[in-house]
Amino acid sequence: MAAVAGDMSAVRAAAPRRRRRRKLAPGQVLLGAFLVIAGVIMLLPVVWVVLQSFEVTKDQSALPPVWFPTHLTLGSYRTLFSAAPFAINVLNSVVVTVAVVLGAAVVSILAAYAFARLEFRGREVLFTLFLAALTLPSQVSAVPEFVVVKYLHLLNSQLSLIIPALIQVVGVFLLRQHFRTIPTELDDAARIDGAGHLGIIRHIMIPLSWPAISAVMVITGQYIWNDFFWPNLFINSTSRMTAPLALYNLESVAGGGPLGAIFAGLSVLCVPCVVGFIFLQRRLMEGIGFRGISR
Amino acid sequence: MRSAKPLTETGSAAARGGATASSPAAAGASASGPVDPLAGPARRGSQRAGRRRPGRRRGVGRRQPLTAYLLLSPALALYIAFIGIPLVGIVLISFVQWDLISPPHLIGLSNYRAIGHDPQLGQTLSNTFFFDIMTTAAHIGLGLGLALAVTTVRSRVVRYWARTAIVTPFLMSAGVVALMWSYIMADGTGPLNYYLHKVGLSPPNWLASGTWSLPGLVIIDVWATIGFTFIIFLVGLQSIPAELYEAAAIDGAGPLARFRRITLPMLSPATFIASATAFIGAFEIFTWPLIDTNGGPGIATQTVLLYIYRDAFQNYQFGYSAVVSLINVAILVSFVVVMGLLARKWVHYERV
Repeated sequence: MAAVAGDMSAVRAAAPRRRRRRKLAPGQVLLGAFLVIAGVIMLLPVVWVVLQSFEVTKDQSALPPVWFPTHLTLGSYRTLFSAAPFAINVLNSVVVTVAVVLGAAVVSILAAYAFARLEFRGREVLFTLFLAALTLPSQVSAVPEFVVVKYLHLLNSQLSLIIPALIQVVGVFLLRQHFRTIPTELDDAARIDGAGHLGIIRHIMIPLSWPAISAVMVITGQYIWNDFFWPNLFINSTSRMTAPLALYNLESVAGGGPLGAIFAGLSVLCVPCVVGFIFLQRRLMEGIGFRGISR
Repeated sequence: MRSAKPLTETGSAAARGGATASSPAAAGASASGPVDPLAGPARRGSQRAGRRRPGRRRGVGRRQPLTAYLLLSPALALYIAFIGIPLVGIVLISFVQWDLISPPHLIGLSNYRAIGHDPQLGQTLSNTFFFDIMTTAAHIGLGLGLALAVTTVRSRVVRYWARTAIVTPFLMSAGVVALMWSYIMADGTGPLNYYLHKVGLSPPNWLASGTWSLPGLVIIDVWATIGFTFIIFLVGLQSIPAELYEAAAIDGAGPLARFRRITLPMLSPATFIASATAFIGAFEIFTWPLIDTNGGPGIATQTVLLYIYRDAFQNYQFGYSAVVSLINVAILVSFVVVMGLLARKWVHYERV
């Protein structure tokens, strides 16, 4: 799995090797140009939105688009944070994301340990049931899930976004796979030192599978932070919405909404993703890569 | 918890472990002290540890159903409440008429009979399949192409740039992506059509055209989610050992032959995962049609999940929406089964 982390040596090794190192082959130049352009195309929409958010109203959505604005302003951001309770919405997103990431990690670690290390009746059956849930996206049962959440009196509360999300089947599965790679001799050694199961989890499982655990946390966090489907289903008062839903609400309910504020909101939500990716790249690739390889 | 282990469990563990001198019957007795050197220090830990019989084998301490269920209980409770019950719930709700306000009425198979004369279901399904097949094909083609290019290019800077740029949209909220593209694709005010006109094309009014709105959503979807497939392929490519290529090169295989004989077969697990996730993910497409086209014009971009959502939460036909949900589940399950069978034939799991 180390190679998954985008390790450059592996990339180079995988590529058909050429003998000449110094001189650039024309193929390489073409390929490089293609990739640079592909990257520009992928990022251009994001750049356009972020630029718009800093432009004065008359430059926003001007045609031809103003790529090099002469006047920059924070006016759109002021509108966004004064007209709508957007700061609260961002805070909601943060609270929900942090709660789910931590809670789901605990739930997954405990379950993964039981599946990886303990023997009990029904282990295989239960694990197969968990695995089966991996193949169906949770949205397929949105209607009955709405009913469950309604009867638990969680509708229109942030708990409706937190509690059902605490079970991340992918997390249980990936961590169980990882725990199984840790030699059981280490458990025995810890037990000799008087550790119980929680001690083994804390002092052996967690430190030794930290890369896997943090990868799971990153993919869970990314999913929850960005989720639109469930908040849209469960939350209807503006002050309890998470940020992406609040922005959609601002756009659709306020009859088109203040354009600048929407662009500012989109930027507020885009930028952490880009910055986060640069820092968490490795974990994220691992998290996704695990899923790809683990079957 | 660790000291709550019942003696009988220890006994049976010893029975399975068999190799030590102690028999299960003697398990409770502490007389067989020195059999297992590991057991000695273990006693130090707790008072009751002394009751455990020594002579434990390596597997001991793992057969603790109570502890196991305790550790599993949060996951299990959540699984039952939010995965198990909803899945069973689809079936139950499909037999009732229910608006969620008044109590449900049992109406037998009426909801199922209603499928026959549903004017929207057919087009909704064909929209979803069209969208899905287009995006999955684009995912496999583009994702593989980009991953190959990134693995082959030698400049570190280009590689980093391309990787970051390709994956970034995947990290953004579907809501954000949908809003963003509704401005970009807007006819007359958006930059996309402005530039397409500039280069001499006459682009359609993407999100409002009966013919082009669905392909428009495909473009948005591919832009937003190609990063995932790209990573899967990238990881797959990196796990192919370089020796294979070297050996092939020595045997005189050209680049094309190496691609066909090494890359493609070695990549088959990644291709399998990528196409399965792309297909399943695209089938549940919801946010783009909701925000960008509202299913329209007419129902030109109404997809299965949007239809279920509208039936349940706008028309309050929970029973009928459950039947459509069942159709949705049936399609996905049969897809998974077919893919599983195909995988058996086509996917190389051989690893060097």
